[in-house]
Amino acid sequence: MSRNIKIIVNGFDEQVPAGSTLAQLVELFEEQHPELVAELNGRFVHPDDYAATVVAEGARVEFINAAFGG
Amino acid sequence: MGERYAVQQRLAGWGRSGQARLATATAVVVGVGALGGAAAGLLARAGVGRLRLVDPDRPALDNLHRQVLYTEADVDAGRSKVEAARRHLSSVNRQVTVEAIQDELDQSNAAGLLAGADVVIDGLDHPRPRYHLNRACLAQGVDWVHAGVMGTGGQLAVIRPGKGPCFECWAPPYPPAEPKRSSATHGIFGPLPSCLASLQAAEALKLLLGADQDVLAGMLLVELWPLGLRTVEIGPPAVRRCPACGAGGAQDP
Ligand SMILES: [Zn+2]
Repeated sequence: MSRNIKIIVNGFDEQVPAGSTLAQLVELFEEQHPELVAELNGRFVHPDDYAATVVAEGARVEFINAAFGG
Repeated sequence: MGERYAVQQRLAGWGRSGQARLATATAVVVGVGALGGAAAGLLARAGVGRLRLVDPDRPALDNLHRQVLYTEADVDAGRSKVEAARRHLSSVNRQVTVEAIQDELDQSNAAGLLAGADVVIDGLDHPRPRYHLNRACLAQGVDWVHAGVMGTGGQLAVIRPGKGPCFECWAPPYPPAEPKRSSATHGIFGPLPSCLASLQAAEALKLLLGADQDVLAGMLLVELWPLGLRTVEIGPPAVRRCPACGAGGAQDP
């Protein structure tokens, strides 16, 4: 029995399973790309830390598809 | 000649003293394509005394839909972007000194290219040199205005060494992977870079005029199609320290 928690992803309210890691959210929201900037509560998380970063109730997650052209 | 800036001088906090401040300022524009070219044009019009333009390329026909500084004649003549830009900017404002440097910023030359800079405009078209620009600006304590564009969207951030997060506090880890999206695969909406470049010029002018408190904090995400603007908070990195400026880490609040 998995419980859902409420978080905010890219400014929108979302429900995700309690205990979700950032790595699982990257997959869930289909955000895998080399220009990904993932932020948790306004702070950047290194890709190597996604799997160990558990997202808590009320967290604000930003998946930014950074653009590097000019 | 004093009249040319009359309209902008009427803005609160600008005046003759602000204009004099701009006249003695140096802005370095790294990458003079769609972002850098448009930003340089606005800074020249505003009366920034010295513009140093850095870019290795020549304008191509498929640049013209978005690179507002260049003409078909520049393409036909095979001029470098910096030389074509120098000509155009000098004809816009003869009071501005324009240095044209046809080169690509990298680790070895970044410090020299930024010497004497009061502010830097990021007009680069690839992630990699932005890391070198970041390190050089950190070393010299120079503020820079980052923007990037692709497709119909992009982002803007003002990076102020010692006063807030640097580029590597939030950018994908170095060395950056080859971007999945390029102008060749995803295209670039013509109005997009000029939009971001206007914002870059605005932030740079505020910095040069000493209006620090009114400079963008965080990151502005810009999407033009459909139109949407959003600012997101940018703090020090959450888990490990920034490799460039040392900010953040799990222990920090
Ligand atoms: Zn940093």
